[in-house]
Amino acid sequence: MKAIGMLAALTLSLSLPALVSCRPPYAMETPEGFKRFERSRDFRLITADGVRVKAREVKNYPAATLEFWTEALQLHLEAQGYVSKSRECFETDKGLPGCTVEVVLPHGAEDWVLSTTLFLARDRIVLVEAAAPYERYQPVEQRLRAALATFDPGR
Amino acid sequence: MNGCPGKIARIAALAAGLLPAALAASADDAAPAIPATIEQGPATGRKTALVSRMVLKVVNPDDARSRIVAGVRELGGFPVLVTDDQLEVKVPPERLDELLRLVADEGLVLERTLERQDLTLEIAQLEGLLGAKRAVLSKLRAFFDDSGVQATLRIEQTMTGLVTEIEQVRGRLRVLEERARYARIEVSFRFKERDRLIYVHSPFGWLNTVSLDRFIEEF
Repeated sequence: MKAIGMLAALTLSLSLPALVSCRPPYAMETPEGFKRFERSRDFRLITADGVRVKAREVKNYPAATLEFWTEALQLHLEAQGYVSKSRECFETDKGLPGCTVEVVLPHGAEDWVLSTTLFLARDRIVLVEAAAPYERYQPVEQRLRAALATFDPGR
Repeated sequence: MNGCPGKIARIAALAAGLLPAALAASADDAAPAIPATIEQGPATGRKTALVSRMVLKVVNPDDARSRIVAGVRELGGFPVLVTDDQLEVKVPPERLDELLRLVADEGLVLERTLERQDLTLEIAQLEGLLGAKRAVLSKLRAFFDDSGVQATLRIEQTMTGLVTEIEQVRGRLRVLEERARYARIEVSFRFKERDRLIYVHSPFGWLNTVSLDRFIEEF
């Protein structure tokens, strides 16, 4: 009985860090009106009317600057037919530079905004993407931008 | 009937517009006069058709549409097409800039084009043609007095054809006059071209993963 207890404790002590490490390392103030999927393995937020935000990361390869990737992203999206809405660079509260590229595209019966914010964190590029129909995105745009200024890529 | 062949030949010559004297003659006053000049544009006297097309994104299209239409009326224009997704208005060309600013203030202009077509030459040509045809018509009338039955019928036939041609020219002139008198602005509240995405492969792998469809699917 004692052995089983020890085994359970050992299992828990090994699996707990693993479980914790499954959570995304990102931190950001949740903008008013958004709800975070707390138990999700991804960093995801959503509003009642479906404005979605999700963060992910890719390798910064070939290693390049934030300006380089922002330019490359915008050119690539425009080449595909997305129409540029805005491009804005800023610094987070902790002094981390970030750049947001917003584009618009018809999707179904509506025109959608796709917003992509880039942060460089060591050898990674952290992407915070948001999308919604224009009419639903605009009312939360400023709140989302304010929240992005609190983004922390972690690690 | 004496003298008819010669008269008919002269009629034919007139109708074909071969007699310079006929072309120079004054216009017949039977038909309503087309304005000698079309009042439009700057002092250069050029007659220009202006068409601007915009894709405008706004949060509330109904409100934006109402404000734009009100502004158009203040600028001396009027709406010609109002739908949920589209608004087409006309304003005097000299107020076009003001209207474009007014529209742009309503939201985000995603696309904007401005077409400018010089109509001066085409209008001048049509006015010249109209004058010539009226002159021929006027000359033909003079032949009625001393013509026999057969000649009168031929003259009438020729005049009927001329009147038809004159009406066609006048109609075309009216269209051009309207195009020069008002600038047309088409405002779309959403993209007209719905299927505008094309796949472009980027040499930077991760850029190929940034797409609206993928984002929605994987959320």
